[in-house]
Amino acid sequence: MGPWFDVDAAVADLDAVTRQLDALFGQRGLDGRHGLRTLGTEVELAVRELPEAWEITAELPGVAAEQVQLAFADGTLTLKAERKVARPEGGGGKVRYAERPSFAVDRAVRLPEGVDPEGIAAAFTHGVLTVTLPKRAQAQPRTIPVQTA
Amino acid sequence: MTVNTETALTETATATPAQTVSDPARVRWSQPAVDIVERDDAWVLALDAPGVPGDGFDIRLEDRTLTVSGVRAGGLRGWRRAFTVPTAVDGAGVTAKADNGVLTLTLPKAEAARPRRIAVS
Repeated sequence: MGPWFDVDAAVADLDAVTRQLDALFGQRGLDGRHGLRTLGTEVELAVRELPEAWEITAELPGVAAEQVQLAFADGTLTLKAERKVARPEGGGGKVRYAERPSFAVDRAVRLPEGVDPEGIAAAFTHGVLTVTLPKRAQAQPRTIPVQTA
Repeated sequence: MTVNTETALTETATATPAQTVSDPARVRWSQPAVDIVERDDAWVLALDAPGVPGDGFDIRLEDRTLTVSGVRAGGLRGWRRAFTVPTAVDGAGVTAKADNGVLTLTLPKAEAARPRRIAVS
């Protein structure tokens, strides 16, 4: 590319790429954020509904448990965590492969009503965060016995 | 966690029967992201393998082929990747460390493969 180029055309191209990526990956997550994401640096959340609780898991390899920030307010769980991958530079050796991304997670997940805030528990095991948000009794499914007359 | 771990696999099976991989074909494997740094005296690998307990890794070095696999708790999903190391490696000196879902491997280069400074007399 020479010293001059068509900025409008370049921006239009970028917008097209953004739209294609959004179409490809969809609007991931429950927090409604969208836009151009960098492939490979996105931390995925998995949200599972169990009969008695909601379970949210996130893979955060290389993050220490005390660096994970979790909060629950107004029915919304927020998760913040960051990893900065430090590879040796200069005297420490030569980097031959550099695939592991640095990432910063800042996610908010709105949960349906009926979460018992007192019962929320989080575990961080081998780089996997598991948050369990128990449902209040009235939000749990109930089997109703059918009486025969 | 040990290197060349026929024995470690057995130990895993004894310690936690739930994690035994009776049929490796049933494990859904993914490729872990890796950083590889070459030092004068060693290769240092870091692999993202979240969910794998320290004793869930199987690390094999045969000649210059390094195979790393790790099965997650539950035994249904795992990480697996094989590498060809560009230089000869001192197999006995290989060390492995698992920390928060990141496996770090240090493979000392064989003496003959290390760069040598030649003094001019």
